Amino acid sequence: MTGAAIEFRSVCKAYGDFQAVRDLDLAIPKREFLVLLGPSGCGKSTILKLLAGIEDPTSGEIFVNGSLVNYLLPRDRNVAMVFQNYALYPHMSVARNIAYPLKSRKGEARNRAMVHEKVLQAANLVEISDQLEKRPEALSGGQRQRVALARALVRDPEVFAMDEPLSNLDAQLRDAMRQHLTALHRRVGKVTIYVTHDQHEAMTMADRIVVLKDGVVQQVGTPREVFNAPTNTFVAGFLGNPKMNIGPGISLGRDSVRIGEFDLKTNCGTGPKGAPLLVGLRPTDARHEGGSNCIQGTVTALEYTGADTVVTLSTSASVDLRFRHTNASSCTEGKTAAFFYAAEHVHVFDQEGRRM
Amino acid sequence: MRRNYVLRRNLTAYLFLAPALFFFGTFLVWPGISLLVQTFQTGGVMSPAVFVGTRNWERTFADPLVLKTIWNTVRYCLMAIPAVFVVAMLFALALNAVSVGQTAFKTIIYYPTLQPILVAALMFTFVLHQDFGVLNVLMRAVIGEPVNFLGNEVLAMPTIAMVEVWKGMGFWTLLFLAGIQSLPRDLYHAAELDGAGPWQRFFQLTLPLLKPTFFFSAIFATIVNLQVFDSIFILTDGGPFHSTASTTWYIYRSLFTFNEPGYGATLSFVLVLVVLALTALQSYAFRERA
Amino acid sequence: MSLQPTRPMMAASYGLLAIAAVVSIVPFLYILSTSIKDTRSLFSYPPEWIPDQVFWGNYAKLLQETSFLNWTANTFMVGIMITVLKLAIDAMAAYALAKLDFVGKRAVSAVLLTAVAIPVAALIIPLFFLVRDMGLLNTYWALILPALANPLGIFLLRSFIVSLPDDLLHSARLDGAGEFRIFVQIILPLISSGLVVHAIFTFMLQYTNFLWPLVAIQTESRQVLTVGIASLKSNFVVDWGLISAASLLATIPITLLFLALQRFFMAQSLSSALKG
Repeated sequence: MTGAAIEFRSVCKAYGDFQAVRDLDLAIPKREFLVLLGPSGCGKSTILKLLAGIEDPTSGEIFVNGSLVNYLLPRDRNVAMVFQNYALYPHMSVARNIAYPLKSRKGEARNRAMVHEKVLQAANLVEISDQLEKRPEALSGGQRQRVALARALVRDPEVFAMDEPLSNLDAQLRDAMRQHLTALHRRVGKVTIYVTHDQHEAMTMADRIVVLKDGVVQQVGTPREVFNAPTNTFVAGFLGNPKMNIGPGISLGRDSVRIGEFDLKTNCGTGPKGAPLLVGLRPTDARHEGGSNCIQGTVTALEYTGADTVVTLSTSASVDLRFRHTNASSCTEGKTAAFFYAAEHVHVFDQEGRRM
Repeated sequence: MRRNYVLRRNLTAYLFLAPALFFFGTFLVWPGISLLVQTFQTGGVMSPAVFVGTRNWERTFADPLVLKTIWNTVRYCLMAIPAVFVVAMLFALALNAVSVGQTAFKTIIYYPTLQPILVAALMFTFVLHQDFGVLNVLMRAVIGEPVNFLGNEVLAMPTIAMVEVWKGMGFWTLLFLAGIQSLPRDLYHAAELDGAGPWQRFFQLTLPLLKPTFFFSAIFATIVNLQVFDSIFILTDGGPFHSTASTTWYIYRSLFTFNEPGYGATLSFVLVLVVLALTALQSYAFRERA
Repeated sequence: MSLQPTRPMMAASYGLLAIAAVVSIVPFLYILSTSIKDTRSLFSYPPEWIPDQVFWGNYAKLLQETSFLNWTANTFMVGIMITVLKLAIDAMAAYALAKLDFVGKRAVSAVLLTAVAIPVAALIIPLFFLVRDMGLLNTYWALILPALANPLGIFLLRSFIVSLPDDLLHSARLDGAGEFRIFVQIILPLISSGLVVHAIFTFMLQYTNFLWPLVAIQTESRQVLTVGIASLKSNFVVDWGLISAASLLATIPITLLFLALQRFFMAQSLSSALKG
C-alpha cells in the first residue's frame, strides 16, 4: 500500500448511459487540502458521494487509509461531509445537530457530559457556541454553515468532504469563511476534499487542484502548476480571469510561433515548422513595455474594473484579444496599443488542445 | 463482500415494506384471488363451497337485474359526479372571490362532508318525509302537494344523487379552491392586461389549468361512487321496483338475503371490471385531450 | 386569481355562499329540532322549528335503552387502533418507496398503485369468508385488520417524504445513523403534518365506514356507531326522535376533531391525498 490517505483506482460511475466519472485514478496524501474543480456536471460532486458511500461506483476501487471501502456503509467509512445546503436537521437545536453523529453511532460512549464537552469544543472551533439552543431556521446562512462544519468536526473523522460549502453565502461572507476554513484545516490537519466550481476558491485554498470535465480528470497539480502550465486549452480557459486568449497560429520551428502577423518566442515546444497550432496568452500576463514579443492592434473596447482595465484589441489575429492594463489612461478606443509577453507566458497547444 | 452489501441494502428496504406488503397481500390480494375462485363456486356459508363450473357466470349474463344494477350505478354516477363538480366549482369560485368571511364559509360548507353518509341519509329521510319533512313543507307551499321523492321510480335515484351532492360538495369545493389558489397569479394579471374579462379568464385560464385536478378528482369520484351503497341501503333499500338497486347493493343482498355468495362474487367481479373499465376510459379521454 | 372582483361579482358570490351555508346547515338544525320533540309535536303540521317544550326523552332513551354508548366506544377503539397501526405501517413503506433503493422498487409501487383502483366493496364476500375462517367474525380484529391493507396512505406519506432533501438522509447516514434510526429520528418528525393528515383521513374513513361493519359484525353490542344507528330505523315503528338524537350525537366527535385540527382538514393536503 502507498501512504495515501485516500486512493481511487480506475473508478467509474455511470447513471444509465450517462458517464458521470470515467476511470478516475487519484491518490491523496494525508493532511492534503485537495480541491475538485470544474463546471457543473463534470462529476466532481459524484466523486465525493462515491467516497462517502452515498453512491456506489459502477467499477473500480476506493481505499481509505489503505483499506477497501467499496462495500462499507457510509457510517463505517469515517468520512464527514459538509453539504452545499448544509443539511442541518431542521427539527433539532444547534447543539443536538452537532451532537447527532456522537449519539447516533452504535457502541459509541453515550456519556452525556462527554458529548456535551465535545459539542462545546467543536462549536468553539467554528465560533458558534453562543447559538447552541437555537434552531437552524433562526440562524443566518453563515451560521448554518458553521454548524454544519461543527457537526463534521465533532466526529474527528479521517476525511472531510465538502460539497460547494460556500456557494450559498454572499461574497463577503464567503471571503471570511474561506480564510476560516483554511485556518481550520491547518489546525485539524485531516485530509480534506473540497468541491467547487469557483476557481478563486480553488486557487486560494488548495494544496492541489484536480480539474475535471465530463467526468474525466484534465490535470492534477498545485495551483501554481495548474495556472502556469495548463495541460490543455480547457484548463487554460477555465482558470484565470479574464479568460486566456486562445487563437490559431502556426509553428515557426524551434522556439517561436506566429499568431496573426506577430511572431512570439515561447518556452513551450512548437513542433515542426509550419504546423498549425493554438496559441494562448493570459490577459493578466500582458506587460506594457519591453522585449520583442509584441502584439499590436486597435483598441475596440475598454472595461474598467477598478484596480485595472481590460482592453480589447482588434489585431491581425483571427480572434479579438483581451489584455489587462494597470494604467489604461494611455489607451483610447480607436487608437492603437501594444502589449508585450515574456516567452514563459506564451502557451502553445496542439490542434487537439493539448499543451506542447 | 459485495454480495453481502447489496443483499443487506435490499433486506433493509424490504423490512420497511414488510408490514404493508403483508396486510396488502393478506387482505387485498388474497381476497382478490379468492373472489375469482368463488365465481365458480356455490354455497359456503352453512355448507362447504362446491365448484359449479360457469353456472354463476351464465346466470349473471341471463339476469336482467345485473344489467339494471350496473345501469343504475352508472346513472347515479352520471347524475351525482357532474352535479357535485359544478356546484363545488361555483362555490370555490365564490369563496375565492370573497375575502371577508372566507374561513367561516369554508367551515360551514365543509361541515356536511365530515359526517358519515349514513347520518346524511338518515337526515334526508326526515327532510324528504312526505308528511312532515321540511322539503315537503316547502313543496306544499310551492306546488300545493307533497312529493314522494323516494317512493317514485323516476325521482328516487336523482334524490339519492342529490344527497351525495349535499354531502360531497364541501370536499370538492375545498379541493377545487386549493387548485384555484395554487394557479400562478401572474398569468391572471397578464390576461387582465390583455383585456380578458372574468368569463374569458375562467374558461381560457382557470379551467384548462385545473385539468390535472379534474383528472384525479374524476377518477377518484368514479371509483368511490361506483360502489354506492350506504345511502341506498338507508333511503330506499334498492326500491321502488329496483329502480335504485346498485351493484354493491345486489352483492350485499346475494350474500345476506339470498345466501348465494358465489353469485355475489360473480357480481363483485363484474363491479371490479366496470370500475377498471371506466377509470381506464377516463384516463384515456383525459390523455387524448391533453 | 387575486384580481379584485367587481362589485356585482362580489355580491353574487356572497349570495351563492349564503345559499350554500343555509343548505349545509339547515338539515342539522332540522334534526336538532326533531331530537328535542316528543312524538306528538313531531307530527304537528306545520312543523314547529322550536318546540314549546324541550323534550329530552329521546336522549335519555338513546343512552339507557340502546347500545349507543357501546357503539361509540367500539367505534373509537377500532378507529384509534386502525389509525395508529396504519400510520406506522404506511410510513415505513412510504420511506422505503421514497428514499431507499432496492430490487423490484418499480414493480412494488406499480402493484400498490394499481390496487388503489380496486373497489373495496367488491371484496366484501371473499373478505367475509377469510375473516370467518380466521375465527375473527364479530371481533374488533375483523374491522381492524382488513383496514390496514389499503395502500393509498402509503402514497400520501410518500409524497411528503419525497420532498425532504436527500442530503439530510445522506448526512444522517454519514453521521452513523442506521435506516431505522433515520426513519424514527429524522423522517417522522419532519413529516409530522403529513402524519396528522393521514391520521385524520384514516380515522374519518373508519368512523364513517358502513358496509364492512354491517357484514363483519352481527352482535348488536359489538357494532360500530354507523351501523348501530341505522339499526334503530329497522324497528316496526320508526322512532324519528330517537334516530335524530343518535345522528346528532354521532356528529359531535367528528365536529370536535374538526374544530381542533381544522387547518389540517382544510389545507392543500386534500389534493395531495388525491394525487399521492
